[in-house]
Amino acid sequence: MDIDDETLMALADGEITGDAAARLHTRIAADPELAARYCVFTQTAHWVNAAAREGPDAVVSTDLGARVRDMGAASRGADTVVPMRGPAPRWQPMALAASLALAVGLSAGAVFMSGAPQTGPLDLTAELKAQLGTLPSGRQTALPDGREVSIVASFTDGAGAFCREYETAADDATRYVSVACRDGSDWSLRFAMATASNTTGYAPAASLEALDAFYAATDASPPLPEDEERAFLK
Amino acid sequence: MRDHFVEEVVDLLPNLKRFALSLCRKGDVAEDLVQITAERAFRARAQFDPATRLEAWLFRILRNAWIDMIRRDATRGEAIDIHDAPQADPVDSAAQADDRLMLASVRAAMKDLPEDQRAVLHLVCVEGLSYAETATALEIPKGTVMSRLSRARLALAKKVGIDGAASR
Repeated sequence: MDIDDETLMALADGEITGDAAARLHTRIAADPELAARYCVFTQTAHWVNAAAREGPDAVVSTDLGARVRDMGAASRGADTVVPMRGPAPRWQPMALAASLALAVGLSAGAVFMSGAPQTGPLDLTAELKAQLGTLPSGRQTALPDGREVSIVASFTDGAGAFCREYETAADDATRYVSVACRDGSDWSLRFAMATASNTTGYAPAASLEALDAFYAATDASPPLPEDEERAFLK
Repeated sequence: MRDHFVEEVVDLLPNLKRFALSLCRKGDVAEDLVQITAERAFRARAQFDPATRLEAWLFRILRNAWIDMIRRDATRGEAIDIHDAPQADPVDSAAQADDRLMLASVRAAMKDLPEDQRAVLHLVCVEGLSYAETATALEIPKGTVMSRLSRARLALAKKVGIDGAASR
């Protein structure tokens, strides 16, 4: 019976042990062609490891080590738990949103939507819906109502719905990061958060933790590659 | 009093830096990613299960921080594209004759792998994570870990001229 590459690789990586490994090694020892294929996996492991460890860049600066130690010391006793993307406990959205807004010191908090129509700067107008359905990630455009919209990324939620993360900026320079998902032929707002106002910059990393929590709760996929995104756009 | 959790995180900073470099390929961005990872780890330390490996948990946080950074940079239009895998310049197979040249060839070939393959390759072959731990860290099925890892290694071997015939 032929032995496939993934089996040889698993053996080389120590994922196969015991009697099964012994049987495979016996086969490899008796078959030069099989031995050559097996060696590709042991040799690539060796060289990749050596190349990464001896790389000139893999040195942590003294400053970073000190900063991390200080952060660690400051975190002791703090009872702050920020859910990460992926398997995480379910939580009460509004309560978490409020606590995160407090924790990161935002001038405006986060709101989690259930699809109800919004008004004002978060309004999902027909024009905005049209852009969500057609504009590739990384592109910007101006809406007839004066808002500027920038598409950040596309992903699918746990239920497989096509979703888009985007930012909008209104006349008063307040920026919002939002997530809307396609429900059939319509779009519904699932998340929105005001980032720091009166700035042309972007939200600090900490303020994105509310968004991260949202992704955790919805089992969001990583950002879709360009070709997969294109398949969802009209 | 020493905080063992903090010390363990500090001890793993070089591992985190290496993984960050394998994702973003830029030293300054890698340090930012490591710092964000440590910050999130300290905030979320109550979620860490001591029965599991800390480095696998930290790699997962770093990977998510990297995804967040991509989302930001996509809006800013910066030239970081995880799906951009340009063709490598041909790597001189004669480099096998010299270990240093071979290491340089391997590093160049790794940079040209797609980001998803590079991450799996790094966690298994450099950091020594099991396939199951890698699957958890990257939030992908174990079967996907194996298929990406196999593809990455066969592509790498082809580029740098590892054919299994030479024994090292």
